[in-house]
Amino acid sequence: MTSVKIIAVLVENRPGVLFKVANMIRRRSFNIESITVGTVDHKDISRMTITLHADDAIVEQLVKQLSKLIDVIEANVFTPEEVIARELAIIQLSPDVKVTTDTKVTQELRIVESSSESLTVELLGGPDVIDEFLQKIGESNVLSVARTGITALPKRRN
Amino acid sequence: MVEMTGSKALMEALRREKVKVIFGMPGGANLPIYDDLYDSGIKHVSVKHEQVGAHMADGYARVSRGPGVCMATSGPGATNLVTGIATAYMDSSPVIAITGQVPKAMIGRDAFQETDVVGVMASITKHTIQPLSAAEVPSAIKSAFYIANSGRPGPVLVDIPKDVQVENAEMIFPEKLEIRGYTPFLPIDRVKVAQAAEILAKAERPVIWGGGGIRISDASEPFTAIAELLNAPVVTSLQGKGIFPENHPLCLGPMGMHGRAEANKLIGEADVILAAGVRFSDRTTGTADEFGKSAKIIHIDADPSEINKNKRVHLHLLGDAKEILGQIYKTLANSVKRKGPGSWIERINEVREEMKQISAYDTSRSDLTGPNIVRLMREILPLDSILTTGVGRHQMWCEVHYQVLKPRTWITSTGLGTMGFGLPAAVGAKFAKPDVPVIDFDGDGSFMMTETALAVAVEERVPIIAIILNDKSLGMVEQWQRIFYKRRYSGVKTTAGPDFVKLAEAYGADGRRVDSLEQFAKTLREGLGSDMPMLIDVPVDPEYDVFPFMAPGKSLKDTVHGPKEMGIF
Ligand SMILES: Cc1ncc(C[n+]2csc(CCOP(=O)(O)OP(=O)(O)O)c2C)c(N)n1
Repeated sequence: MTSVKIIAVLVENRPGVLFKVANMIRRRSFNIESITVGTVDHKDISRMTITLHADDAIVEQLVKQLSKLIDVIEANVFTPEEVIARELAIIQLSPDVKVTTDTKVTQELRIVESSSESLTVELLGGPDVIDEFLQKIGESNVLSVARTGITALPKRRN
Repeated sequence: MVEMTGSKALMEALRREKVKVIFGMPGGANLPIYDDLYDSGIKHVSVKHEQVGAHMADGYARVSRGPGVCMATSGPGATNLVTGIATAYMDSSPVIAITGQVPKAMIGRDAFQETDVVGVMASITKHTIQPLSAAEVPSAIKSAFYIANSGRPGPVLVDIPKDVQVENAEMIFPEKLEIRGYTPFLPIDRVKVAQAAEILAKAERPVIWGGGGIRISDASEPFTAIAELLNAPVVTSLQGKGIFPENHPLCLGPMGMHGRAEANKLIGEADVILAAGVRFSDRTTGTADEFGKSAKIIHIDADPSEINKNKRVHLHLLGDAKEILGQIYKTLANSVKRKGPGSWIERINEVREEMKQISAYDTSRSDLTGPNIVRLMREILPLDSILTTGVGRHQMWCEVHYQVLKPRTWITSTGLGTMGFGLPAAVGAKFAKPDVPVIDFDGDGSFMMTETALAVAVEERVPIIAIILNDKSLGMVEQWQRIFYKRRYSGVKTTAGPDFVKLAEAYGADGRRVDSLEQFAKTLREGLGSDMPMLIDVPVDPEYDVFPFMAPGKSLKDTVHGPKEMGIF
């Protein structure tokens, strides 16, 4: 069944590693929805968070193939419910838009710049929060959007 | 710690890995390496074409259990390696490719003979390493050898920029390496061993299926022990030929597109299939859904990504096949008595008798056909002879009719199916085992792809024998065009092929042509006693096709046994 999958990959922080990971995903013809990369507490290890739409069995196979890459230390797949995921969006709106702070969504909203040309806000949250906000505000009011793509950690359960 | 150049460190690291021979070609970007190779004590074989070098290293590796090493310069040298490396990758062969690269400062600037070989090779190697300082060279080579030849083996590329080759550094040669992203084998799951043994013990119609992984892990002993204990018939994949002696009463031979008819039939009647060191390739299993439909399948493999890749299995065990099979055998031997021949063996003998009648197994003709030549060759060749092949009908006749009796004496390209593999692989194999006869059984089309390897054989005085089944056609493709494309022969006929006898002579080899089985036998015997490379040109009928045949997209039960049943004669 295809659904949103979040692949968490710990890799050696070395030149060429992102290429090897992306190349493997390309081989299976997946379209990457988003990918974020950053170092973890050890500077020589990076964490990649890859979001894509995929079939369960194929993604299981993909994760095994990713694990096989020598530069990949660990690869795991999660559903959105199994992770704590955050994404940051910077959104430029038409200057005359009214943003209210009454909904849950907009509690996470911060105005970072306001001019006669535009109103720039930043929004931090789960990806659905950003989607919801953009939908509410309406396409015609949005000048441009930059989204980081999600970064995520699996929830720890006992 | 000692100070030396990157290139000298490379030589030292290779000596520490006990490399005896390198198959290579020099050029601008690896000149410093070649200068140090000159008095390194390591034998260098000048390969004439880098693809030839890669196949030689591959043939060497498959026979010797150790990595084979090939070398090339940057750009065209490196790209010429590609087919050879892809071939080694598909058949899990530990080949180390060492390429020179343009100096670091020139990388990415489209410098003369610059190819991004790390990028090009990424999806056809187990790993790629590009040391960016001389001090990294020793550990690069150490990890290349370790990675190439452990777990599921595979080719590793080491791409060394020219400035790194000449740079001086304090060198540390590590004895051991920790690579945190790489664990070749996980500990064996004992619970699963017990489960596997239980399923096998209860099986009524077990079939044991072995592939290239059994050869790689040298697991023939426990593999055979299990088959004999259970009195279970054995099938192999094409890569697995020889892991179990093919003249053993329990051996049904290879299954697959051109497998043995009895193997293709009986696998469908199994209630349990123990699949060890195999990867469920479509050429071996036919359509995955139909394969083993009524059987419980137990899969043993070194590579986690092979599990459930092409076929969902009931139980899988990860790790080294030799160890796992050894443990399964021990568990079984404690619980079951050696099984006598029951109704399953009766059924097997019945199918065997039935299949004796099929036209593909007909031995009444005495002319120069593929099957006749192959069977005669088996009679003549000593047991431990090594046979390599090209790709095509000649290879498939070997699959059906050449009994491989010892592991590592059958060297063929199955995963990639690379024409041109046979001759260079034979030369490489001969370097690994100079004391046994090495024969390349080839097609005219395949042979022409890498025939320059003959120059190497003559130059290096390695007396291999190349037998060419010369149908003046790309026979295998012609057969498909005959069957599936109404005999519209498109691009397959060689209208002005070379005179192979003269060709051999021009290279300085002994060239022969035979026109009967008797003459073939006599010539082959002469070749076995000769210290010169020999080429035997055997003219054959292009219309004589290879059977049994399971058409692509079909399942093993649809195997067709001869041209009449196929409806082409
Ligand atoms: C490098 C390469 N190119 C093309 C093919 C496709 N192909 C498979 S078999 C074959 C014909 C082989 O002819 P030959 O070597 O003469 O063997 P024969 O089938 O006649 O025995 C071809 C062209 C291949 N396997 N490898």
